[in-house]
Amino acid sequence: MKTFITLITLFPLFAQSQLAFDSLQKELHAPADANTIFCDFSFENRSGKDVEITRYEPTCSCMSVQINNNGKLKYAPGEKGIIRANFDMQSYSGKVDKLVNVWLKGDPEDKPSLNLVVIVNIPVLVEISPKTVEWSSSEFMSPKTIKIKMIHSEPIKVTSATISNSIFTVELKTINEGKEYDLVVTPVGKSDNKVGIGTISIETDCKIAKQRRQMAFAIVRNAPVASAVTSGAQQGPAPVAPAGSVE
Amino acid sequence: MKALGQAALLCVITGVAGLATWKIKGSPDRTVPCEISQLKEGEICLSTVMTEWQNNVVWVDARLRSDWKKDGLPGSLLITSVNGENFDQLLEQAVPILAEGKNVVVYCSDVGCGTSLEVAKRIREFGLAPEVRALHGGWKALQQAGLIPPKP
Repeated sequence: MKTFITLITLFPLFAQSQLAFDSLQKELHAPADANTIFCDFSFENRSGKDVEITRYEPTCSCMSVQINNNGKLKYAPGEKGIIRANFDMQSYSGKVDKLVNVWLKGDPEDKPSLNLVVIVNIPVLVEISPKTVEWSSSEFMSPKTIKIKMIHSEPIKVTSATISNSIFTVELKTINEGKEYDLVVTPVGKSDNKVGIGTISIETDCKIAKQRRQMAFAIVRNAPVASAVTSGAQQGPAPVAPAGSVE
Repeated sequence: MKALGQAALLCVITGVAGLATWKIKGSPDRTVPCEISQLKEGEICLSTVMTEWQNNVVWVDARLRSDWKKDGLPGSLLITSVNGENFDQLLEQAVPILAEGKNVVVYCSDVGCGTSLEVAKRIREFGLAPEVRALHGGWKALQQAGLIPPKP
């Protein structure tokens, strides 16, 4: 009986085995024109027992995962391996975090032992700021400016800038050709027709397709009603009429 | 044989104790645990959304389109970058709702999924809503809380 109880209480300890990784989080800097990038996580079985990887999954369909040695899953004490995470960056820019979950034998289905984090920095070549300009319908409709800056060794020119809603106008001003532009947005709707949303499309000649077209928004909101502030009520900007409801 | 008998007796006692616990305490709490101190930057607990934001929320589904159609939270918008979806186009379609002034909560599948954080970050960059957060625990947290209608 004593032996049995001892074995039962010690079983969880026997069940826990570990792979030691060089790092559980890695940060990469990708070239702006790269479509794919990979990251290797090296590991070693430093426990005294065999360790078996039962499952490995990225948390994004933009990633694929491979284990070296033709996908070897069982590692004896002292054995080493590599998990490679391949990342398809075609629709991403800026700083992106992606996760690879790794289950070891004995792990519950919803609790992988290991979370490998890949942080990828993809250069943003066309910087738009701010990405939304907005007005309240009660304020004076002064023009507002969106700054367009090119962060690249080669010039990138803005080839066109348009807005989807005729209650706004846009005027492109060149500050430094290929480097810096101002896009001046002005609401021009009449007093009974000035609330709405416009999508601003900025086209450039950027050689990298995913950064060629940029988007921003212009919004004229209804003026907030002073008596509408109650507990739990929205604290943010006042609502805007859905697009299409204003001619 | 004696050890087997003892093992069987232990199993019976354990089973009875478990059943009694179930009867007294009720079924186990299967909600996705969420410790505010453990949240990543940009995340929010479902309990916070339900108590502090209540109806002042626009829900965004960042999963696959097929998953959103199958069992997305009723009334949620699909805005995602997975599986070749055009994020800009989906965002543009959603702007009239996002700009209504409500807080935005983005969810993907479960705790390990990182897409909701990324989508929330990209929506936040446009400054359309007062708050944009990723739901800790994702769709699973919504399901465990009984917010996803069961299949007919």
